[in-house]
Amino acid sequence: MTRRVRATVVLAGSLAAMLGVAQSAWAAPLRSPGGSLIWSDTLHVILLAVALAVAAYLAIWRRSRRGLVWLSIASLGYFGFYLGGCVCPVGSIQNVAAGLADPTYTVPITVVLVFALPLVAALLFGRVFCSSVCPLGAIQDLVLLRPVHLPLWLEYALGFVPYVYLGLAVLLAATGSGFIVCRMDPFVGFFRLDGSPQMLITGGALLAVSMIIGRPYCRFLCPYGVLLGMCSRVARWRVRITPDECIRCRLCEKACPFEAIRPPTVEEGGGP
Amino acid sequence: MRVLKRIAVLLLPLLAAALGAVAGPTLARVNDTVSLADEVLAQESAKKASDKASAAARESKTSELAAKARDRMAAFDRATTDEVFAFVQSSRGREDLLDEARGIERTFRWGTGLLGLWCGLVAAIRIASVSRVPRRTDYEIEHRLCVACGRCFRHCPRERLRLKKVAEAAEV
Repeated sequence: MTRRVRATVVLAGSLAAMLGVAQSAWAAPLRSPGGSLIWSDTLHVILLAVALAVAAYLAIWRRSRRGLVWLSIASLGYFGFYLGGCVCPVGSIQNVAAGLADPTYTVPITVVLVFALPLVAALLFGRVFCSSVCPLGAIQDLVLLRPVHLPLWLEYALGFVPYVYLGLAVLLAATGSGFIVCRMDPFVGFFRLDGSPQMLITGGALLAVSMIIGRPYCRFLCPYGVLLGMCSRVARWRVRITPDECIRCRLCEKACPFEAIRPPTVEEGGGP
Repeated sequence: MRVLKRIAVLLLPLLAAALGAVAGPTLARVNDTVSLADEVLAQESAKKASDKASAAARESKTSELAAKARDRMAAFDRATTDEVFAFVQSSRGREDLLDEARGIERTFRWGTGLLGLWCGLVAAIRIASVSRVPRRTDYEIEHRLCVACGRCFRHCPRERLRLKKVAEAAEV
């Protein structure tokens, strides 16, 4: 049995186990006096941590694109369609902001963990949450067919929007004025197979754009991506194009649909 | 010219903070309490106008004034929303609601000021970093933007070679 087949079997097994455990927890949940599902919340956090660890292994040590795609499908199925996209780290920014601003607002420990785990993972391994754990990223990545490269100035200008969105989301949550990120979530309607026509049209339009522009929500809207980007700057272990020497063929730059690979700024001899 | 640019970049966060603080009360209307307080005040104002017009119409029997009174009454009806109706039915006091709304507006003024400062700082840093070219000897990943999708692995010829060698070694 080749390594590739073994890896596929292990990943398929993990996926089946993940769904099996989730199914059993859903079927016989333990309920708190208030009626909230303790078991499923805890399971959700455990599965998030496991998925982050697997993503880090696949991206940094195993260096397997195929493995990351399989994990994306599993995450989309579980965190997206099964859990209905909630609670997700992207929206949990608002719970944490509301909890910090208002002492009477209780933030469950599971929500704090959902908020913190991907950030800790980003501090250690870079944006592995985005790679294959986030259902919002997965749904966009899986429909990307013919990526088009945006002009750098446009990329740079649109990259400012998530910072504004993050600030606005924190402000509105901290003042008790609503959770704008959840209200404006473009894909939650698909995940729950329900939603207003406006929500479904927005999500559909964004998915259509995602077919030619890599992950537009992640790059030009996601407020959590701002925090993950900041953490990943100092990550201890990070993705590399190749552990070998670069031959400056430029193929990686062309292959990256997110304009995340930058060309050399000095000549090979070391001069500018 | 360069000095002027630097000053403009440095002033940007302060300018954005001031703009944010000015926009605070307007943005505060997205808050349910502030919005309800505004509606209650609008309803009170419409009611006063409506009462005044009715009294004037009773005193003078002209059709023009009667029409004006009808308009005022219609405006009063429009101003009475479900939220205002629910508030009137509740035991909550008017002053209590208005005090809370003014408090939220003050918080918004600070909050939008900070939001403006944040946006201005980010914009200033981004503008300043445009002219800064980091030293890169090879093609490198910008980790702030990289989502670790792994697409570049298979496109790198050196990596393909390496993976081939790894696979061969594993089979041996």
